[in-house]
Amino acid sequence: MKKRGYYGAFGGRYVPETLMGALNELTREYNRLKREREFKERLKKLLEDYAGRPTPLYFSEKISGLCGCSVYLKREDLCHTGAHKINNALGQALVALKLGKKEIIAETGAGQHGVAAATAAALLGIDCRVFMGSKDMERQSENVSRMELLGARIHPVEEGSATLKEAVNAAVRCWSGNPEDIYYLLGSCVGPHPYPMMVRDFQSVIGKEVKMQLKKTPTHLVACVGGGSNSIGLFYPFFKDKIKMTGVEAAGAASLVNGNVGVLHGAKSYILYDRDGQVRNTHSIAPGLDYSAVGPEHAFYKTSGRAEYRKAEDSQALKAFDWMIRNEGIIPALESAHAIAWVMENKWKRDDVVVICLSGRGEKDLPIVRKMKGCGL
Amino acid sequence: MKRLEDKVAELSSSGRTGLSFFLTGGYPSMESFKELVKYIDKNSLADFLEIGIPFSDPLADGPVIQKTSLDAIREGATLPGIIRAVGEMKDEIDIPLVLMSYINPFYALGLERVFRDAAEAGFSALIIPDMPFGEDPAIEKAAMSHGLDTIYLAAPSCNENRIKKISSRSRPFLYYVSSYGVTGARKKLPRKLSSGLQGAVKVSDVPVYCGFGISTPQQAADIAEYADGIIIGSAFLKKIDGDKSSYFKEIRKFAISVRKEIDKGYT
Repeated sequence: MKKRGYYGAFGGRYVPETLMGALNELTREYNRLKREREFKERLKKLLEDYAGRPTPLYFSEKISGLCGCSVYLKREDLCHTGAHKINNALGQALVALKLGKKEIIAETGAGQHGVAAATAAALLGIDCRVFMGSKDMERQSENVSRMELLGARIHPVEEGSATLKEAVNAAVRCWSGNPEDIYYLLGSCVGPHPYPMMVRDFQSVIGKEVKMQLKKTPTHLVACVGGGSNSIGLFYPFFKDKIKMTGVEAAGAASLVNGNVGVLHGAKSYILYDRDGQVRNTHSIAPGLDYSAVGPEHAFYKTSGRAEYRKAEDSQALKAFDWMIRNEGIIPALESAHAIAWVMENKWKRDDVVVICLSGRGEKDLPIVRKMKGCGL
Repeated sequence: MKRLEDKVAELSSSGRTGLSFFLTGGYPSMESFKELVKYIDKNSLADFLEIGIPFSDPLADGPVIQKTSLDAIREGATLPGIIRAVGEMKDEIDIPLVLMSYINPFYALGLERVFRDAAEAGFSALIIPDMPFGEDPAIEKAAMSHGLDTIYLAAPSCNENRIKKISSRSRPFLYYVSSYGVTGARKKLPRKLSSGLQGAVKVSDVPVYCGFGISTPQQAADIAEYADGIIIGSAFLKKIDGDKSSYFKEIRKFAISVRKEIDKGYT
């Protein structure tokens, strides 16, 4: 990193001055905690005994057969609460506890981060409020119920496209009103420094486990990218290894593939905006990918050529979703189905060893799929 | 058009409290926006105006500015369009203007081009709410090369040292944010505001103007005891609604009552 909080030309802290004090405090405390033995041990224990880590690395004979190479699935869908989001939520909730904050707030798109944050808050005994776009509340209603059962207060966000972008806006505005008491538990590697770094650190457990679990070195890593937390968690520990990395975005929300350099939600990165600089609304079948920006570290991976970014259409993701259920007996999250779809449609060599991050489970997506197919599954 | 730095210097030497209002560019329509600027100028309702560029995701703004921004965007307002509209008025008006914009529209259009056009249109300075002091000095430099000052914001969370640093680069004044949270009228301003403001005034290299949440003439007067100037946004903007002749009357009445209160004690 050239400058603190930057990944090449990307990242930084493009936020109102009112938040600078809280960000400084958070950076200082996080940098101290990540070296503290007690903190590390507590998080490790929670990840193992509570969240169910390490998650299996599963060799998929069927995808391998289809692709003509070796394909492994990193089973983040088997984490407690059903997605990789819990890795970060537990880590940050412990930070919030150490900072003595009175309340946790979180944004959520698919609801997976909201559920993970509400879960961590319930476990650690902190109040929790979740901001969620009303469109997402409707299409991920199961997760809304889960959060409510966990004791979180849900704050519906009606503005704009009523999805993840507006939920982040609302959470940041709320946080800026009382940064001394509120801890903002951001769910992806986006936002101002230190969030992209902290979320990446907490998610890096994914890639670290793959390194231990796979006897041979993979040739390719593939993961879906919305904000980019499961992908950066898989990629980062392999940064220096000679292997290819591919991030797969939703075609209707492909900030890295179709966007330009700009600033949204506190970070300089690739953003989807029109020629006047107004941020465009996105459209994806997968709520967790339905976001106009992407984490700054991915912007750096793209421009430096460390990773490549591709996109998958809604229809391709749906096809992969069905295929996975029928052939593997796994219901993948629609987000993860984008990564699987890209792998299934790409050309591979026999010696290729591909690891796909299966970032979450797809039970939450049944209402969306039902609607897309016009009733029954 | 008068330059902001001259106006601020003039106010400082006379000891009179500066008064500024915020308008969303292109709201309620581009034509009405231009008429508003001219009306405020002609009736000397303010010492300068902040012209906000509507943005899709105004993180630092509350409901009023969010709404006027979305309305203006729907009406077709853009950064170049607003700069053009100001350029068209520059020979008819005297009041100094400040350009307030989130950073993304600047990136979209290119810093050099925007700053050149804004300076040519007559803007004196920039306020960028999502660019805290120290984050991107290249922007301040590019603005300066076109003759635009950068006004930085300071907040209640700043210690004296940070306020001093910010004020050393903020021109022609330091914008002190009254309270945590987004823009918008507040029934009560924080109790600590007066001590925070006094501290800022004590260490600042430049005059200190205070904004965020100021909604009544009495609040303005309370703050004017310590601040060199007052900036009112949402409470002013809220009056611009409905029939033109009635909101002209409304803003005039409001501006005069604020002026009267903050001028008490000024001879």
